[in-house]
Amino acid sequence: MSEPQTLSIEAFRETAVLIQNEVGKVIVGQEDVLQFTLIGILSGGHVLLEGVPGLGKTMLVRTLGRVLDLQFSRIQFTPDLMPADITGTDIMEDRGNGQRGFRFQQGPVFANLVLADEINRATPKTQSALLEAMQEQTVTVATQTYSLPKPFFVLATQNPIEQEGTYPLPEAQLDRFLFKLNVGFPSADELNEILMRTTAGQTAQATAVATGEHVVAMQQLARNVPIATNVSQHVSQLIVATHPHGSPSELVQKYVRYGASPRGGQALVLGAKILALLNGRYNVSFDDIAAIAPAALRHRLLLNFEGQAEGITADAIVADLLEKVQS
Amino acid sequence: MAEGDYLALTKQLAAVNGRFRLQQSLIWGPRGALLGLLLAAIVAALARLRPLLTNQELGMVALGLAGIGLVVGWLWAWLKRPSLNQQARQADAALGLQERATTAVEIAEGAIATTPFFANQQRQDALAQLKAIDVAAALPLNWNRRDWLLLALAIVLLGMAVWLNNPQAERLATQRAIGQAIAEEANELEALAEEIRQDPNLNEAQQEELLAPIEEALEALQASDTSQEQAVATLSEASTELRELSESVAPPNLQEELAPAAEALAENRDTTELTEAFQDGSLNQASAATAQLAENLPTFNEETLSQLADALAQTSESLETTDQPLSEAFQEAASALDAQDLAAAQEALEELAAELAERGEETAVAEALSQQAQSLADQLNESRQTVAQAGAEGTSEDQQQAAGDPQAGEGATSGGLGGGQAGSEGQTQGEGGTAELESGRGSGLGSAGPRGGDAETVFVPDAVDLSNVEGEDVELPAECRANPADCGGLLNETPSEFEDETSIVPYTDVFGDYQDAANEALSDDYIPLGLKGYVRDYFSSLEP
Repeated sequence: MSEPQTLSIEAFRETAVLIQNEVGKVIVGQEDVLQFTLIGILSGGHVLLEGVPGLGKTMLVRTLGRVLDLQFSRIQFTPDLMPADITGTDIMEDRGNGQRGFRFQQGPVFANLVLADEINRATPKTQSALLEAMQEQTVTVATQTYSLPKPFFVLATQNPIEQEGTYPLPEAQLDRFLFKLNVGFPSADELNEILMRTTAGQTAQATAVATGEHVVAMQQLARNVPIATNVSQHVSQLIVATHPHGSPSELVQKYVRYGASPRGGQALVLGAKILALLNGRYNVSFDDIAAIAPAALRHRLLLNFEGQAEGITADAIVADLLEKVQS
Repeated sequence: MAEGDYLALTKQLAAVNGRFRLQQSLIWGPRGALLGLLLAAIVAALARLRPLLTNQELGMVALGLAGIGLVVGWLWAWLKRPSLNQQARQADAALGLQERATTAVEIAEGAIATTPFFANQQRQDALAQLKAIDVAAALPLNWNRRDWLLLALAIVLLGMAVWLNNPQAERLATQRAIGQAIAEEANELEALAEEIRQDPNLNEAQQEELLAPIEEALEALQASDTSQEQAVATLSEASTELRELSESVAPPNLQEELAPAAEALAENRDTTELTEAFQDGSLNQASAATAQLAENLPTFNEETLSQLADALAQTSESLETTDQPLSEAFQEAASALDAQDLAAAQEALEELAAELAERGEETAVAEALSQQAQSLADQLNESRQTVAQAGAEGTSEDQQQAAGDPQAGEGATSGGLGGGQAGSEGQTQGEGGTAELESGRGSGLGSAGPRGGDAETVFVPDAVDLSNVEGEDVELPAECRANPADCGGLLNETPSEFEDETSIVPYTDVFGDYQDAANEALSDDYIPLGLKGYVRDYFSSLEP
C-alpha cells in the first residue's frame, strides 16, 4: 500500500479492489451492495441499507469496519433508546480529595464507522440525535459540543417488513443519507455458499487492508475527478425532472409528490466520480450517472398516495426518468 | 494542456468528424436527390394536367432537381462545421468513449477545472482511447436501404412519366406555337413601327396616326397573358382602324369629281390637254396644262379667247357644287378673258395652275398615307391570320375543314355581317351578301382555342369592301318602317331564294328570338372578345 497522502489512481483502484475482495471473503454475494457501500464511504456520505433480517447487513458493515481498520460501533435501535444512549452523557465521578465532578462519557456514536441497526425502531427524538451527528459531525451535550472522529460514517439499516411500532424516518432525515441500498435475498448458489461458510468449523475472517487515512485520501482524490459540462447538466436535468411540475416523465407527474433536493445531485456526482475511478476512467460519464441514480434517488422521491396505493416503486420512476431525460 | 497533445486531440477529433460527415453525406445525399425527384414528380403530375413541359424537358428538370438535391444533401452534411466541443461529443456518442473526448476538450478550453495531475491523466486516457479505435470500422459507410429503395422507385416512376406519352403534349405544342407566333408578330409590329418612325415622307402627325393602332396592338401582344383570341382581336381591331384611317385620308376620286369640268372643256380644242388631265384625274398634269394655257394666251385671237372664256365659265359652273375654290378660280380666269384683260387672265390661270399643283401634291401625300395605312392594315391582317392559324397544324380534318368552311356557324354570320355593314340605310340586302359568302373565308382559329384539340372553330370574317359591289335596292314603304306588322305586301317584294311564300315567317316575329340568342351568346362569353362588338352592332342594325 502506498502512502495515503500521495495516493495515485492506480493505488485507488487497487485499494478498492483489495477492500472488496477482503470483504468478499466473509460476505457472500451482495457485490453491488458492497460496491455502493464502499462508494458511499469513499464519497464521505452515509448509507442506509434496507433489507429483511438475516441478509448480512450487520455483518457487512462490521466486516467493512474491520477491513478498513476503522473504529466500529453498533447501536441497536429500540423504541426505548434515548438520545443520550447514542451521544453519550455526563456522569458524576469522584475526582479524589472528596471532590466530585461531571465527566462526559462518550456514546457509541464516537466511532469511525457506526452501525445504526434498525434505525426506524427508535423514536424520532432519538433518531434526530444520530442524524444531527451525521450532518454536523459533532455532538452537543449540555451546551458542550464534541467533534466526532474522522472519518465518520453511519451505515444504518432498516427492516422493510416490520412496520408496526416503527418510526419511519422523515424525508428531511432520509435526505441525509447519500445512498439507500436495497439488500436483496441471495440466490440459491449464494445461499449455499453462505451455509457452507457459516456452518463450518472455521469461519472466514477479514483483515485490514486499508486505514482511515487511506479512506480520507481516496475521498480527496475522487473529488478531483473532472466532470464535463454536458454530464453535470444532465445531472441537473435529472434532479429537476424528479419534481412533478414540468417533468418529462408521466410517472413523476402522476405519482410523485415531491422530488429530490440538491443533495441528490451531489450524491449523483460524488458517487459517479468514484465509480468512474473504479471503472478505470479519469472522467465522469453518463453511464456512471445512470448507475448511481437508483441508489442516490430512490429514498429522495416522495410518492403520493396514488403511487403508494398502486405499488409504484421509486426504482421504476428512476428508470423512467433515465429514459426520458436525454443525455 | 501541452500544445502537442492538444493538436493531437484536435487531429483525432477532426478525423472522426470527417468520417462522420462522410457517413452523413451518404445518408443526406440520396435523401436530397429523393427530395429533388419528389419535386420533379410534382412537376410531372402538373405537366400531365396542364401544358407545362414536354417529356424531354421534364426529364431535364428531373435530372436537374435530383442533381441539385444530391448536391444540397452533400453540402448539408459537409458544410456544417461543428465546434471542437461538438466534435468531441459526437465522437463520444458515436465511438462509446464515455465522455473522455468531451472532458479532455473542456479541460483544454478551461471550461472545467481540475488538478493538473487529473488533467494530464484524463487527456492521455482520452488520446489513447481515440487512437485505439479504428474509426473506419467504428463508423462504417452504411447505405440506408430504405432511402435507396425509395430513390430507385422514384427514378423508375419518373422514367415512366418521361417515357409515356403526355396527354398535354399536343396542347403544349399548340400553346407554344401560338406564343411564338404572337412574339414573332410583335417583333414584326415593332419593325413596322420603327419603319414608320424613320419614314422621311411622313410628318409627325401622320406618323402618330399610323403608329397609334400599331402601338396599341403591340402593347397587347407583348403582355404576358395575351391569349390567341385576344391577339387576333387586337390585330383585327388595329387592322380595322388602319383601314378606316386609309379610307378617311384617301383623296376623293378625282376622275369623277373633275369629269364635269372635263366635259365642259372637251369642246374647246385649246383646252385639250387640260381636258385630258381632268379626265385622267391628274392634278399635276392639269396644273401643267393650265400653266401652258396661260402662256399661250397672248397667241390666241379674239374669237379663241372668247371661246376659251366660255369654256372656262362652263367649267366653273360645273365645279360650283363640288369644288367651290376651283370653280371661283376658273370663273376669275373666265371673267378676265371676258373683260379682255389678258394680263389678269394670265395671272388668274397661273394662280389656278399653282392651286392645281398644290392640290396635286396634297392629293399625292394623302394618297400615299392612305396607301400606307392600307398596306399596314393588310400586313396586320396577315399577322392576324398567322396568329389565328398558329397551332392549327396537325389538327383534325374536321377542325381544319370547319376553319375554312364558310357555311359553318359564323361563316354565314360573317356574310350577313358584311351585308349588314354594307347596308346602313334602311334594310338593304344585295348581291354583296352572296359575294361575301364566297369571300367570307376568313381565317379560323382552328384548334388553337383554349380547349386545345377540342376547341370549336371560330370563323373570323374578313372585312370586305362593298363599295364597288352593285346591289339591288329594295325600298321599304314608309309604313313598314314605322309598323313592321303591316308589311304583308313587303314579303312578296323581298328578294328571297325561297319561292314558297307560305314558308316565310315575318321578320319581326323572329327578330326578338334571334336577338335574345345573340345577347345570351354575348353574355356567356362564347363569342371571341374582339368580335363581340361586331355581333352587337349587327343585331342593333337589324332592329325593326
